[in-house]
Amino acid sequence: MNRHQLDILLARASKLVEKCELLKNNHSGRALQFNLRESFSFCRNENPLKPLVISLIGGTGVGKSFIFSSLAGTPGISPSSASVRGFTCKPYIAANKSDRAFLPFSDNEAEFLPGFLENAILIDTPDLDTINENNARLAQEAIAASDIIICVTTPDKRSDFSINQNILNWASRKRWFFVMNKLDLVEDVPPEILKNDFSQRLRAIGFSPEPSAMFFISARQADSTDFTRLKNAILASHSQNQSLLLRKEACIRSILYAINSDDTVISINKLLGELKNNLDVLGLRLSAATDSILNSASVRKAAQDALLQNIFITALRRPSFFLFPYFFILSRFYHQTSTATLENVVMDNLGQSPDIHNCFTDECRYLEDHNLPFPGHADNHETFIRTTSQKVSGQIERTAQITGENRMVGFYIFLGNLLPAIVLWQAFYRSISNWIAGIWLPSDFFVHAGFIIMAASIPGYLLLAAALKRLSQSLLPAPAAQHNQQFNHMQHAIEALEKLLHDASLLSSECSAAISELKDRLPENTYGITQSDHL
Amino acid sequence: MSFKPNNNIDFFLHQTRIHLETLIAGIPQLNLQIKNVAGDFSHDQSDILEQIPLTVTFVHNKPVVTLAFCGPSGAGKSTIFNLLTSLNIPAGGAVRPMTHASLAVAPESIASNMPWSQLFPGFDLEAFTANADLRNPSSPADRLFTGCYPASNTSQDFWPCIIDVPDFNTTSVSNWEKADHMLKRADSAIFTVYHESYKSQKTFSILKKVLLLSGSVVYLLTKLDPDQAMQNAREIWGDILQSAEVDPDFQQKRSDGTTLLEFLKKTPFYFSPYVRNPSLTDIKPLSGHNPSIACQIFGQKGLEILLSRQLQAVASGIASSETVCRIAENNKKEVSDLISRINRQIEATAQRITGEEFPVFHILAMIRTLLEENRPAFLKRAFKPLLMLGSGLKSMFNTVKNAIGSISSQDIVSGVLIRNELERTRLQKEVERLLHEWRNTPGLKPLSTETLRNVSDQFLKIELPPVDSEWEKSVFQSLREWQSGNKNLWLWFNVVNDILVLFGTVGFLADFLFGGGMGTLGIVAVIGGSSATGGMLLSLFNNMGLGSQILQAHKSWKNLRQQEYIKHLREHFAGPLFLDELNKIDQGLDAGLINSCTASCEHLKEIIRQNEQTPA
Repeated sequence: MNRHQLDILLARASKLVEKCELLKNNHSGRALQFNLRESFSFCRNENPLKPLVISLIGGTGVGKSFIFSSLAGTPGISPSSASVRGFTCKPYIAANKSDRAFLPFSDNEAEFLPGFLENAILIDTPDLDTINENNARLAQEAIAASDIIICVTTPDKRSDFSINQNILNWASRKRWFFVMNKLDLVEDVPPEILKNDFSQRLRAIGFSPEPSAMFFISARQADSTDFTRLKNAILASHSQNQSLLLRKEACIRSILYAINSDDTVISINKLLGELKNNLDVLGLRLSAATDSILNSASVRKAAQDALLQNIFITALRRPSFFLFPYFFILSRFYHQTSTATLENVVMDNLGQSPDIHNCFTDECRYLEDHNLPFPGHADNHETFIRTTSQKVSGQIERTAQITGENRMVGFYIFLGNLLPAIVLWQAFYRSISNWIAGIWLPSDFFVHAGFIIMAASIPGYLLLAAALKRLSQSLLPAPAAQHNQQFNHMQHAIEALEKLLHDASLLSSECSAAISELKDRLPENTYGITQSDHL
Repeated sequence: MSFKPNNNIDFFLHQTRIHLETLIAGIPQLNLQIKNVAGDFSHDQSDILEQIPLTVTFVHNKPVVTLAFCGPSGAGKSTIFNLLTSLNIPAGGAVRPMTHASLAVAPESIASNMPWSQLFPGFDLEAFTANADLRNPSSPADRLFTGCYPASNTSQDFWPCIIDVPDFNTTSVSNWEKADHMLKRADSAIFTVYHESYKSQKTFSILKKVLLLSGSVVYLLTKLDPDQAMQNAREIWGDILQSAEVDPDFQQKRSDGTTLLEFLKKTPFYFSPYVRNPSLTDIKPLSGHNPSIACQIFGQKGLEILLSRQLQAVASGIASSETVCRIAENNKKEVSDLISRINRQIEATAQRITGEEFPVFHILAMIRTLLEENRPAFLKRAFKPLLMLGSGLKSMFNTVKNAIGSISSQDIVSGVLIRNELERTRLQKEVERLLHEWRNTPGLKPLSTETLRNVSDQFLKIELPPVDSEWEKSVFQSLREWQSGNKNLWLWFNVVNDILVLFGTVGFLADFLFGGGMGTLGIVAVIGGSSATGGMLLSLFNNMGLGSQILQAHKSWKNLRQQEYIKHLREHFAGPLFLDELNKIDQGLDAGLINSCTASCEHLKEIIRQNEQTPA
């Protein structure tokens, strides 16, 4: 783990903050953004020269000051009382003069004592659960500034709610030692039961209690094994390099905490699920509304007309022989306007449909419901109407094109030409055979033959017209079914949320990997344990 | 204490009873409605009222007084409870918290006569059978186990009912409510604290509550260092009083006028050292004037405690009831304003939907009926060929049209279909407009898109409100009256009518022939034509003196239609969305109820004032 890796993680986290901008009005998104910014400010403030900060915390009367004095080796250096509680009104800080500037306390707010730990500061904090609000605030500030926390409790106070809440708040962001003091005062309960009970309580809030980070002591027996272990753990030399590592770990933990705390990611995931559901519902509604309009009598009629005319227009491009006069006359009447008419009819019908309008209004409303950015008006409504009508007319044109070029049409044209061709052949045969016989047929023969050929083409035309009409009726295209893409505001939101969640999960797993890499280099017996599950 | 207990308690209970009953019945109802408006309602302390016993419980002519042990986890409540009662309920530090339910025990001698439910109204009572009852963490908040103890320390003045209460500061958060519940009921409290926790935030906040609610309090400090118990106890008591002095909350007044601080100073303070097998003799008073703890607890004046506690509970009840009444009043105003705002929106919408589709064809049909009834015989003969031609053409037209399945001519003639269509289109637009307005109306609960869409879809599927037959009847009546007074003019009507029948028939036929059936253009032509005809007829009616009837009919039509739409929108649209609920809340926040509760609070305050003035 080097500085470079940490910088990469921070850069990723910073991108995540930018992505949260989409959710700035949403409670969860805002909370995630805020938490990430908090973690940045924590990481930025870290100075590589800052020594390790170790704090003793706990409720009233648990013996924090006594332990502090014992560790310092000077009894009463942090004064305590056997009777009156809240005796420690300000933090007692054992720190070298050069190190004091790293702490958030002024000379008035804290009592500074000469430092006795190598590369580390030890703080005796006021009670966390006291009625004196200023003392409680100072204790909270000391926790925030600490790297390692020694949480002191007693058998009677081990189930105290407010202390438990404070541990939970900081559990994943700090390294912890747990001390149960005054074990000698409980005579009716075997110590083993107390130890087990305490371990279980820690397990319940996500710690995996390591015996090396738990101490069961009694102030009256300052030479007990556990007391010696505690002293060794705190007084052990903390190398500057390891302190730096610990701080990096704290920084990564703060990012992880920002992602995992307050269930923001879970809420955003839920929001994503809801949005997807909403989109599906809207898609179905839009499909149903569009289908009903495209299948309505007026649209079907316009579509049929357009299709028939377009088939004719395509068919007209083929060689038509005897049917040419009909095709020629029809081509004077039929032109592309039928498709434009169809487009207008579809546009009118879609535009007037309240169901379709409501779908687009609801898209905005759904986004508004979730406090996501939404346009002031349903601007994609018009786009949908335009594209759908174009799609329908395009489909009609394509179908007509394919149908017009169909072999069947060719066959019908062939059939239509058959009778006049026979008549022509007959006329031709007669005129040639007579010419060979030396007889020149009278000119009225040719005139009559011309008329008869024309008359013979009528059934062919009627046959072709009937066939094309039948084809046009059976080939009305089905409307397009995919409508989810129409709601592009919602699509955008969904894509952005998916990206956000993906990035968050990636960052979270990278942070976890980095932490487990660091874990082996920061032994628990010297640096304490930390919450293993992010509750 | 400024009361003469034996004389006053009965009188006090009698005086307050009716008012308390009003509050007990009314405040929860108001609370419920407030919760409906505001969701989570943090001022809800009114359960204190529900737990006020309305009578003193007497057994064998002695009152029963409830004494509760309360304090933080590990203070030794259950241990001292066992010492006082000679029972053996779970105590000690093996498990934290040990007690998960309240246990109330009465002296054995009266156990069979104990009216438990009278003593603990609002609690779910159950007989205590085994220690496991108290260890069950899933016990509900209002569960109270009842039992008895061999009474070695009997009081001369009252029957002590001793209660062990769960802790209020552990991670078992559900126990807090149980402790709070019992705190609101207990007549007297034995506030038990060990020296390490007397100054924690939670302990101090509960101490304030105990001082505010209880009739009497004994402060008991436990687990002191045996070597310096007395000295430490003195120092700690001094520290407690000093801390209370700087805490503004301790300046709150009890109903007898003393502040909580003064009351705390008068509270008997006892302490005990940490010993392996504690006994009652280990508990000592700090002041030499005080008797032993048992004598202190059992030697109190029972009725004095009860009256004092009753006054405290009533005072707290009044305070919370007044808050509830004030909020209820504000909510009532807000809800009423909201309802009238919604109603105004609905009225404007109904006006827009109704439009100007005055059914002149209805009137024409009525006039035709009247014509048929009063047709002179010579006219029948004169116009017979014309009518025959007309009706012939018309029936031919109808046959053709029915054959091609078009709209029935009757509908077109009556104009109902067209009006319905227009009204429905307008309704659809107006529904959207209303939805938009309601989503942006402050004070209304958030209306999700799905709810809005479902309700509006359902609403639009409902048939439009039908035209009221009363309107037709009244218009017909007024036409008949006019007809009987204008016989000659009526004759002209007959002529116009017959000509119109012919014109109408020809018009429809032409439309059919040129338009290829009743297409869109045909319908538009009919609307245009009918409006023009209607306008022409109106001016004709006007000239003939029928104008006032027609205008009146028009006006009443608009009004009626508007009312029908207002009703329709309210019942089927706004109702299911929120209006029904708002109306229910409005009714629930009954002004009479609020006033009677406020009045009861005032009466109770007056009674307390009078009691304060009563000399001891």
